[in-house]
Amino acid sequence: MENFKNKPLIKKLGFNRIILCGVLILMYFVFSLFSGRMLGSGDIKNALNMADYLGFLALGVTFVIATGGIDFSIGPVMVCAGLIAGRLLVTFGWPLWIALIMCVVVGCLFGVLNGILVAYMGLPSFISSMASMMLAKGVGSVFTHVQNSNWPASGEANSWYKYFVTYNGIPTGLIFLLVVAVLCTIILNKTKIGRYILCIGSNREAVRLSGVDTRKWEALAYIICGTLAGIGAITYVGVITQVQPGLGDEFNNNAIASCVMGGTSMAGGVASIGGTFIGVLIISLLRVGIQAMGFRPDYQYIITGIIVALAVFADIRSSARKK
Amino acid sequence: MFEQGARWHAYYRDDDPAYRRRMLDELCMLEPDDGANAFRLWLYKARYEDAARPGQPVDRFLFQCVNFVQLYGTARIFRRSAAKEVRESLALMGFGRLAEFGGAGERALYWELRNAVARYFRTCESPGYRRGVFGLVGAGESRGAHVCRDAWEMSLGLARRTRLEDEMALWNRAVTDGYAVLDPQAAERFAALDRKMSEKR
Repeated sequence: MENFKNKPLIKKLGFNRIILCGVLILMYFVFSLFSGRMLGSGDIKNALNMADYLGFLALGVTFVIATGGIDFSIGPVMVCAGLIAGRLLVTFGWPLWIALIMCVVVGCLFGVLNGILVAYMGLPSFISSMASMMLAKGVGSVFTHVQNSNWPASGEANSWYKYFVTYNGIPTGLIFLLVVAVLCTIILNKTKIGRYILCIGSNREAVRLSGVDTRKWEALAYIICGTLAGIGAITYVGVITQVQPGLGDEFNNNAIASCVMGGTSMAGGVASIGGTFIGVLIISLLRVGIQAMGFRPDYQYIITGIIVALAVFADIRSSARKK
Repeated sequence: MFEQGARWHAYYRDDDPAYRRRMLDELCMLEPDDGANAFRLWLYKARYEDAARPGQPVDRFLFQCVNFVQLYGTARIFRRSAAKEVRESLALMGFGRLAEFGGAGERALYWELRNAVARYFRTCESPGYRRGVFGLVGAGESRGAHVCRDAWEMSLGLARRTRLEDEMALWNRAVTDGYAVLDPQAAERFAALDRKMSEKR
């Protein structure tokens, strides 16, 4: 095993990521075996649909976790953006393209709010993101008068937004997500933004004394996270069509689990976009697999909860082992 | 090899940029010039002044400490660009001017780096350093091990990963010497980590 781990290609790709890919393939066969049928294109399509919007949330929260913080508001923010933009589109008759931009704007505004609360007002991210989670749920409900937001279904006028998820059988959502993931990798590893975000997670005081405006860069991590939640809302409405107020909490756990599973350290300073991407695919396949095995979707919450606890435990253990 | 007079030693022990500037000016006048005073003045400016941020207090050498820890991680996938960035950082810290000033210049640079590294290790005592899960759990007793890992990653680890052992030799020495004086077990802890990481290679 040590020899395998020390091969240059394996070291370059990252042993953990290869293990995650192995887990993904293994899960496919295990779910196929226990469900009594091979998971087919329909199951894969369902998994990819979920991966589309979950992926944007997970990519965004990776930036926040890299600073050593956390954002529990991403799921409700995504739903809130879908609710507000949906109502603007359907009830107020705004053009579709403006409604889609509004999804991103709403997400971005919540990111700005979180950034101000955490970076400039010094609130613990744990608390402030809980507050904005409630705020997002409330704003979404109030704006829609606790009514569902019904986006145009396939075949109806103004339904081209669904091309962000699938177009003539091509999983455009996955391609869209991949492009954004590559951009995030470049931002995190090759730009000043990413370097400062990671450095803040690694040693905030040293970065501050170096003359870097830590508050600005930390706030930017939350803004990126919120904006990606807003982009996630576009794919979310593309998949779901009917957005219900008050939802979204369950996506937080899934997104955070994807990040930690992918090798992003909860202590900050270490982040892997590639790992997060594979983590998202694992979580999405998990949900589809559980349903294929005949369990109710509720069981997915139990399993995801266990996975989050195990992933965080493994993160702490592996940090301790490195010492 | 890098012995200093008592007065210069006091200069390299201090943290405060403004006070160091006053000391530097005084020492340059009072102490006999070993041929590196011009380099010391250049190092001071290179470290504490940034043309892009005029008037703002900066410490560009301190930033390289935390930057090198991050570059160690980046270098796993982007080795060449990390090596390029390390070379640029070394040039920023005056490595490119060593030939002009000879042994005295090397001594001046070594102690300037030691000063920056010592400042970095002091920041590791701040409450925000490695806060733990969700920023809520204290790092507790593992803090010392974290600092050791940072020291190794920013020096030997990065040098090996980017294959810049020769170029980074002086930096590595400043970091390992600076870490070794932190506590009585520090040198031993660092050597043990280095052995462990070397075996992994």
